Amino acid sequence: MLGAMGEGRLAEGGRPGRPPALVGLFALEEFSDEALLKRLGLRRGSVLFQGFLLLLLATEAHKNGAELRWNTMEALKESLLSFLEEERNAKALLAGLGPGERALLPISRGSKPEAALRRAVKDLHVHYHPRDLVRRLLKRLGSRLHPPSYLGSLLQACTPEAWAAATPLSGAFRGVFALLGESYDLAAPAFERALAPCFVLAFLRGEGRVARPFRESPPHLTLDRRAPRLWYRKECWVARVRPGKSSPGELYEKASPLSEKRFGPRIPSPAFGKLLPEWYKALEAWGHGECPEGCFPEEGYDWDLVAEYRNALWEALASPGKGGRT
Amino acid sequence: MRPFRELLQEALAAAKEGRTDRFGHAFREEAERHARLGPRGEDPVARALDLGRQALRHLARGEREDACEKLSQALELHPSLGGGLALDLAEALCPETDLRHLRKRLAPRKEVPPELPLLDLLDRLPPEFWVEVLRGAPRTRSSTRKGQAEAEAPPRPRESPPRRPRPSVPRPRIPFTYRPLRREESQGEKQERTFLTSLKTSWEPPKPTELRRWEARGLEVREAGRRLYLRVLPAFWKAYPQAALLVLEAGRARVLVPLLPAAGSLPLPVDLKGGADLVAEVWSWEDLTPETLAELLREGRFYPDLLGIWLLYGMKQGLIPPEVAEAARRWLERGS
Repeated sequence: MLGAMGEGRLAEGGRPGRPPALVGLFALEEFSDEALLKRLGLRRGSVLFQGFLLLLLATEAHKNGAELRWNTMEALKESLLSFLEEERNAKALLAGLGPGERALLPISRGSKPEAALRRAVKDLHVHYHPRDLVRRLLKRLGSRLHPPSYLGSLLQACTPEAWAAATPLSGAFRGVFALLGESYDLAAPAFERALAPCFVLAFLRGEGRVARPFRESPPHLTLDRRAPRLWYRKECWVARVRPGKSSPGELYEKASPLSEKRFGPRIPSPAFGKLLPEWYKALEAWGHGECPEGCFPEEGYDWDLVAEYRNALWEALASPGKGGRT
Repeated sequence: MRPFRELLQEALAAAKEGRTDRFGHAFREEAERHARLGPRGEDPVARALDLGRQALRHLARGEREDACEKLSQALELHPSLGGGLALDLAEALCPETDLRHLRKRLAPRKEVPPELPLLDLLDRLPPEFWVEVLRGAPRTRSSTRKGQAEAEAPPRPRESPPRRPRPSVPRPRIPFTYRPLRREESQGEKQERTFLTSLKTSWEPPKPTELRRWEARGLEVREAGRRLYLRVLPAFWKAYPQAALLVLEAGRARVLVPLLPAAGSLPLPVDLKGGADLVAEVWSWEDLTPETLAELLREGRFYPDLLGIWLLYGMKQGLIPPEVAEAARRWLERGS
């Protein structure tokens, strides 16, 4: 009984990750406003718009405990549909949507909104890869997204969490650890402790080249052969070096307790720097020399703190003049 | 550990019902654990989060007044703590405290840049999604499922999805780890793979008393009778049901290993030193166009007979168009 009541309240008071104050602030309802959609270049019925909608619904379902498959948009749609087959799930998802989000779906106020939701999901166009979708969404943002001057004071916090929050896509930042964890068959937090945030930052910005984080220098990083450290513009070193084992050639093999995995995966950098050049340029300007050492989170990241920094960043972005857009 | 915002949510629900004196054991434990984390930094946001966590601990212990004090201290530093949930909680929990000035500071602004909702949505996607974005390689799709999906698909919207030329599509790559087997061990016996044992075996140089062995997810290359064999385990088929061919990158050599579902272990046409790099690239039937096949046959090393049988199998199963298979078979005959 408690569970059922809890669910109702969750939908009513806002959900974790979608805080009530910010719902008002971001006014997702405005997405039903064609002019705003147009400004973003998201035409109703376009592939981008449909992809955006699928992501929106999938995030909502994920919050409701759905176990979705994210490997392709097709798999995501299929798993979302099987989650929605249960009437209870479809109801919960609908209850979680704001009026604006509901307006995005072709659901009339009439008879069976659950069936209409399923139909709407079924009709979504999904023949592309998540990476393509994200790139195209970011491309739309590229010229419009102005980094707030707040980034400067954020980086002054000088915590790894601040670095994670300062990247344009903090979800992708966390994703790097998850990907490494999966590739090496180890827990992601092990990588959080072993890799400096500036490594992740540089990797995400990258140039689309392939990186093997424990074997070779990733794009944008230089290996200082005299001192066996890998530097990112002299701001901080990239991976922990165990004392006593310092031959530069074997840096990566000894860089962390993970070195017994000798064959690191090859991961192409997503090259977000090309899509959001202004933001990255600002980061570089602000971040330069701010956080020389102590970049490693001793016990992994406090992702709650990342979310709070992110929150503060949104506020700054939304209020020009108060450390907002420059 | 559960996210801070989830705890706030639970506390808010309890406060609205007026049952903050009866938190469950799980909530109390979680609140204690959060409070023990301590402040991460000296900036207002980090301090506010720490104060918020302490407030939850007070609340879980039934100390409402202390909780209210910590909460309002936190909110002064960072009014949108917990994305606004902390302010909601303070309003429900501490009617004696005047929080109107904070509510005002949180009031929605008129002009919100349109890119924010989009960034916010991207932020909220789970790590699993980003893993796929960063991995970058489209997974191989079942040809039957693809046919179905296309039949059901609505008319193509105006913007067509990007189509990349086939050869540039990166394919799933599976790195191997070198883990030699001791000769006295029974070969079929599964080695215990604890952190320590794997560390030990991989750091030791290979000795003649050992059998060479490379392991990867669902794949194993193992020495038997001085030759190397590849074993394909069920886990591999589960991950790549459409796999047709493995291209093993062994040093400078590229080795083609045609995958026949019935074959237990497949001989490799190369010999490798113990500890050498080994990576497998997974190709699906869909990936095998006349151009890519020609390139693979030109560059790779393989057993022609095995490849011929495999091409026949693919053709009979309808996995590869007959004309492509025939062209490849002609290539084989000319090459040998």
